[in-house]
Amino acid sequence: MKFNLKIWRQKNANAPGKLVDYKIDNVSEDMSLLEMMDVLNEDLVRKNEEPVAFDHDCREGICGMCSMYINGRAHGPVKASTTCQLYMRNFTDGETITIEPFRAAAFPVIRDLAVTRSAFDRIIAKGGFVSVSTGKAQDANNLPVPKEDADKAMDAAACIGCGACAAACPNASAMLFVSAKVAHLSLLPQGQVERKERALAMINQMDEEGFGSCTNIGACEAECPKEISLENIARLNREYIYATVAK
Amino acid sequence: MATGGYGNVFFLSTNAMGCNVTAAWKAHRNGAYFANPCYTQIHPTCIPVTGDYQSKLTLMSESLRNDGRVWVPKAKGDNRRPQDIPDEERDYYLERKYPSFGNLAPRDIASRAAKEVCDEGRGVGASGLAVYLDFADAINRLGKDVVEARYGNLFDMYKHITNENPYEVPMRIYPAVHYTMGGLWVDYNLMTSVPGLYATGECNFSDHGANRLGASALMQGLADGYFVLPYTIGNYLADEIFTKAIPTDHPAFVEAEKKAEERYTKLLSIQGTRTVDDFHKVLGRIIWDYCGMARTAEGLTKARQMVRELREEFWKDVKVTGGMHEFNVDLDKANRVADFLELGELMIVDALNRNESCGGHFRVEYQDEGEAKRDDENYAYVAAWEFTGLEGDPVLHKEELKFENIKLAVRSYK
Repeated sequence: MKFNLKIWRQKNANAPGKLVDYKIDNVSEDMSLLEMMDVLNEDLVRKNEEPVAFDHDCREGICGMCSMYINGRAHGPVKASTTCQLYMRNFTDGETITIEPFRAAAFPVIRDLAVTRSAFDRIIAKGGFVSVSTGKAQDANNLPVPKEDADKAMDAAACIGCGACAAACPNASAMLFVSAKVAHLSLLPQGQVERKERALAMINQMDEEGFGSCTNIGACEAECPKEISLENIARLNREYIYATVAK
Repeated sequence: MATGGYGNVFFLSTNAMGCNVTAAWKAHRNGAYFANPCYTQIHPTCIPVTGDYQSKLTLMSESLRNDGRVWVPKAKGDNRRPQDIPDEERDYYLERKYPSFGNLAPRDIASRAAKEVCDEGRGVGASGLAVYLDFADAINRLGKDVVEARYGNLFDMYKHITNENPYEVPMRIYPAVHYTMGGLWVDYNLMTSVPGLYATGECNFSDHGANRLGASALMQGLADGYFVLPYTIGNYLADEIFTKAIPTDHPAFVEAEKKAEERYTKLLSIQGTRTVDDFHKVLGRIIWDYCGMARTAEGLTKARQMVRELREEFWKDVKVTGGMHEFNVDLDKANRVADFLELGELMIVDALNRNESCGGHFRVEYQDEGEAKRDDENYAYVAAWEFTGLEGDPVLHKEELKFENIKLAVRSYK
């Protein structure tokens, strides 16, 4: 397969960026998009040009590092897929593929396609944990969790924190991410201790980081590689109101 | 340190691409012993390699072997579609060789058995380096719904990657590097041979021995991080309670910074002809071929020389683009690969020293009809290596393995 690539190149956060054209051929349809980027980078290095910087790590859709905006969509054209799980067979031979970084004020570009998503780490640090006493583990059957709750918590816990929700949202809102983390913990017994503080602290941090407000557009849910449901946002709103009233 | 394992020395592994040995290796070069580096786990159920552009291998969960049956055609070069090969012409080799464990044989055994049938020319798929993991019987027995409830996410992932539907055709799998049991030597308090430096999780050597079993990496994360370290590191820190924060103009900092700067300057100044990945792929191939699933003294001796030559070539001919004081992915990679090129040799030295087969370390010379043959009399020890420079041989320190409550025995899976 052959492709025309338009890739965002930007030396650092302060330098101006632009789309640069590259041509690539001999692409196998079994290649992942990131493997195609590897091949492109090898060629660039051989030509004494600097390779395209992009974030990636596990390359199996579970770490949340890859972050490209491909043909105008976070993580590209395939539903429920991260960038690393895109294969060239998902594109048409000869197609022009435009690749840009995730864009949100709270995700500044480091270089080319790599952005810093430390804002999410700081939100997690504000409340995305549970306190557990060390010592003898308690009997697992002491606190039965209804299957429905366990399933909902598990679905929310599938969030890998990649930031596609904020990148896809016209307001650059991080509500889907925050709601997944809050819902996951508030549904389980372990999460009850800090339940109220968590909702307030995480929402507060989200605002401080400069993420926009949620206006129920739903682009986040549509682009989420882990199919996190908008229901979580409704749950987050309930948790927030409950925490505010019961404070 | 909790810096993970060194499986990416093989270039292709199930590890995330960012995993590296740099922190552990720097500690080793500065006095921490590196234990059992040759013990690596090759996991039997991974998606096979499709081309030389391949960047990583994806693990299909072990749990699939609960219901999937592993087989290859009985005849060499049988190119028929799997569904056209009748049952009597299939070799369910794990069930045949290990009737009591069948498809649930341990990872090292299942991996070696897959290599064996592929080496015989009975492998499947375009490369011939794959075996089938078949769910047809499970779907007939349990129904598609049950199989979907158990493994749906894995089946989706497989389809995503290979474009084949495992509900209709058997999965193709092949072993891949998954975990490194070796690592920095630590005592029972998880302290390395450098006082005050503690290592936990995959970056240390403890817990697994030569053969990690399913889920025990998670166990080690919990054991080290939750049950051991909180109770041991305090003993060391208690004596340091009045030590003030060490300023970064301390001579050790200054020296470390100078060394790092020299190294980066050197890497950027070579401006050779070969890319970093090029060296990494060649290194990975050497380690995989000679220090992978089957090892011989002859192969290892040759491999050691190959790694030394490759390392020399790297420092003469690598091409690293960009500058030092910027976000430079190429320089970052070069820095990692330079360490892998040193670690690779130590793995080979360790594998060459251990004249026995045990767990993930299979020396072809030491076997009972294909089964690993241990030598408890001479090798019941942890091999902890001390760095003495790259020219000569590292120094071996032996930590004897004493078994007080159990008797050493050979485990049979037949």
